[in-house]
Amino acid sequence: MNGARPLAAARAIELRGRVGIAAPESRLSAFPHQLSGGMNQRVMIAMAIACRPRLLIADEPTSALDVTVRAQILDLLLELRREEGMALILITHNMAVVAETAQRVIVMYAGQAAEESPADLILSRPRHPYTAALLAALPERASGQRRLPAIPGLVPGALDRPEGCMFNPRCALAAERCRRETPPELEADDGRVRCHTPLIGVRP
Amino acid sequence: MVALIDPPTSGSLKFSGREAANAKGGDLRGFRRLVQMVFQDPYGSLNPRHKVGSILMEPLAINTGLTHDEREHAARSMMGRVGLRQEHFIRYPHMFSGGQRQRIAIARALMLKPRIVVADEPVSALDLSIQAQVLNLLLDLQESFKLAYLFIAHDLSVVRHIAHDVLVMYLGRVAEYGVKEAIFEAPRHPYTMALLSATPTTDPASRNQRVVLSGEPPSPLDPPAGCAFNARCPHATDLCKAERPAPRYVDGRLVARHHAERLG
Repeated sequence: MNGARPLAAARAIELRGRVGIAAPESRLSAFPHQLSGGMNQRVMIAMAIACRPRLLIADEPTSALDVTVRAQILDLLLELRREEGMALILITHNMAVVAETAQRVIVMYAGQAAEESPADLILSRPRHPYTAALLAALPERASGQRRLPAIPGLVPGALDRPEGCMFNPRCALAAERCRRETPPELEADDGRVRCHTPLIGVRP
Repeated sequence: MVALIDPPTSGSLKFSGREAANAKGGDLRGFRRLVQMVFQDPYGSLNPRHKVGSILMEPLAINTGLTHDEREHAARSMMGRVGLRQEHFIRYPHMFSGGQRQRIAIARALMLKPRIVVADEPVSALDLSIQAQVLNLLLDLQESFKLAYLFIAHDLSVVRHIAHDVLVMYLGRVAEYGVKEAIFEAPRHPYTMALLSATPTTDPASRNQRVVLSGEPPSPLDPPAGCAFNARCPHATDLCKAERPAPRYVDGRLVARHHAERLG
C-alpha cells in the first residue's frame, strides 16, 4: 500500500462503507472519541480487513456493546466472512453468541482445549463434563428452578494447576484416575475431547 | 438517585412511605443506611490497601456506635454468610479472584442491614462458571435478609432469572415497566421487542427472526424530539416525532408509547 496516498484514502473510504459506516467520507477525519462504541468497533473491523486477510481473529468483539448494537456487529462479521471468503476465529465467553455464529467450537479450560466439536453438537450433546456444566449453569437453561446448578470452586491459577485432569477438583464425575493421570486427547470423527470419562462415547 | 447521591429533578422518592428526596443531615444518613450498592467491577470497587476485615468493618465504624470487637464479630459472621473463610479476614483484595471479590463487595453492602441493594451489573465481569455461583448467592441472601434488589443488567437471560419486576430504559427514560412475565411474554414497547429478539440464545428452537434495529442509541445529551426511540423504531409515525409519549398503563404494565394498543 506504500506510496499512493490518494489510493489509500479511497480504499479507506471504501472499507468504511463496507463495514456499514454512514457518510464514510466525512467520518475519515473523525477522532475515535467522536464515534460511538459500535462505530469504533466497525472501524476496528475495517482496519482488520484492510489487507484482505484469510483469517480474522475477533477477541470478545461484542462484549462491550449494547445488546441491539451487538446483533448488528455479529451480523456484519458473518456477512464479511461469507463475502470476503475469510475464516473467523471468535473468542468469547457468551455461549449464546457461540450458538448463533460458530460452525466449530473449541471449549478452553485453564489454557487447554477441553473439547472440540461442531457447534450444534456441542450445545445439544456436550462430551466434556466442563462443557455440560457450563451449559447447565446458564440462566436461560434454568427452566424455572430458582437456584442455578453452579460449578463449585474456582478456575485454577497459572501456579496452582491440579495434578491429573485440570478440571478434576470441580468435576462432578471425577474418579481416582482423573486426580492422578492427565487425560489423553480422544479423537472422534467430528471432534476431540480431553477426558477420561467423556459423556458420550468416543472411539479410542 | 435511589442511592441518594443525586437529588431528583422532579417528582418524589419515598422509602416505606417517608419522603426521602429532600432529606438532610441525620434523616439523610438514616435513609442512606437503608440503601447500599454493589458495583460491576470488583477490581475497582475495593480499596487495594485495605484488608477484607477493615473493608467490612468500615461501614459500621462510620454509621454505628459499635465497639471494635463488636464490629469484628459482625464482619466475621457476614463473611460466613457470603461464603468467605475466616482466614480471609486479614487478606488484601488482590489475593482474591473476581468472584470472591464480588462476595466481599456484597458482604460490605450488607453490613448495615440495608433494605435495598442497588446492584449495577454485578455478574457481567465474572467468568461464566462463577456467574451462577454469585447469582445463587444473591438469591439466597435476598431470602434470608428480606432484601429488595435494584438489579441493573443488560443480559436479559440474567434479568429473566433473577427479576420479579422489570423496567426497560431507553436513553435514560422508562420505555416499559411491569411484572417479568408481562415484559418477556408480551412486550408492548418496540424497543423491548427489539431487545428480546436481539438477545442471542443457545436454544435453536426458540431462535426467532431478529428485528435488527438500524442505527445506534442517540446521545443522551442531545435526545431527539418526541419519542427518544423514534429514529430507530420500525413503527414510528409523525406523532412519535413531534410528541414525547407519557408513560401510561396498558395491558397491565406501564408503557411509554403512543401506539401501545397495537401489538406489533
